Amino acid sequence: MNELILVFFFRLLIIIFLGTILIVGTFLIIRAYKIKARNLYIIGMVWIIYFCGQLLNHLLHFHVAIYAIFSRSSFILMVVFTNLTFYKDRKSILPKIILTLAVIFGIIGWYYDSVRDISQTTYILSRVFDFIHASICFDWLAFSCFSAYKKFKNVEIAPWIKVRYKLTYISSPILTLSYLVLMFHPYDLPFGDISTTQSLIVYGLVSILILTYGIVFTLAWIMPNWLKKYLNRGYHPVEDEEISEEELIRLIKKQMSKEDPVGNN
Amino acid sequence: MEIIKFLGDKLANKINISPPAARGLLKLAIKDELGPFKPISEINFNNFKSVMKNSLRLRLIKLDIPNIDILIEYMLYHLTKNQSLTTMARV
Repeated sequence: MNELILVFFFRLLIIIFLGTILIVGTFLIIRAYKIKARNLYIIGMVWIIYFCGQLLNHLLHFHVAIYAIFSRSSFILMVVFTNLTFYKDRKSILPKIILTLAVIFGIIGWYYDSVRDISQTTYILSRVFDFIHASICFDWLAFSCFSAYKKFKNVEIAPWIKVRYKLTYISSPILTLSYLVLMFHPYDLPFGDISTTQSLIVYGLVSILILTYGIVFTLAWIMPNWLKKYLNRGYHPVEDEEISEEELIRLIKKQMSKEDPVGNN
Repeated sequence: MEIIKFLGDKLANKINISPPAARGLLKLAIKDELGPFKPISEINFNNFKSVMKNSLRLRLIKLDIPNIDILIEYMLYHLTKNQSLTTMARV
């Protein structure tokens, strides 16, 4: 009875997680349309495709090989988003290498996903590739956000933006960790089998980890206004005085000729 | 918008004008390049790049700023390095 309640509870956590990613995916696509941002369409699609894959897997019980096409391609799209958002026109070849690795490990991982249930070895291999693939795709975003955050940490920009970077780099490794935990699930039992403690523990841990990820990621990208206001307390955004073009040019020339070295307008 | 503030500070520092004046100059260059009706929230990395390369350059030429090529390279470098702000601050 207790096991049944636990499984129900963990399943509920997974459903809430799926709800959060559907909401964040839809929100980002709508936002992308409104502000005409191509990269936001991509991150929105990441979550919509991932959600569809989970539906096929859990609700319609499609073979894992079909589900894996959705999850693998959504993970690869996350790398595309990261590259378009952080590394456009950068000279480094690292983004291209990461994308290539994401595609290669995605294909290898997909192959092992399709033979996952054959033996303990194929199961472990499938989960190892799951973990490596998730790590490449999501921790690349985490690394990029962390690097940007380090640069902006002491720059005077709105604090809620810094928190968005922070939440994104904190959340991504949580999702990656859930793939590590999945390695310990018995290969020949359905996920969340109530007759096996090991299965139940893995099921519980994974559901808690992915929900934590879902909540933190959603909070980062759909930050409520009250939270933005709270984070911005003590921060005074710059409000430029409206002056005509002629006045501005005159002011700049004056400042450049050192007549007004302080340069206040 | 945060990226205008960020780039404005860089420009101000380089040509020895005040940050508000530098932001004003950037906003004028944006208006020249993208027209007066483009909302700030719709300006992406590529738009900023073309602003730097074209209209900001012309504005700086008119102001007789020396070493414009180096200055534009410097601005493009900081824009490219910090391009994520154009997304993260807009959502």
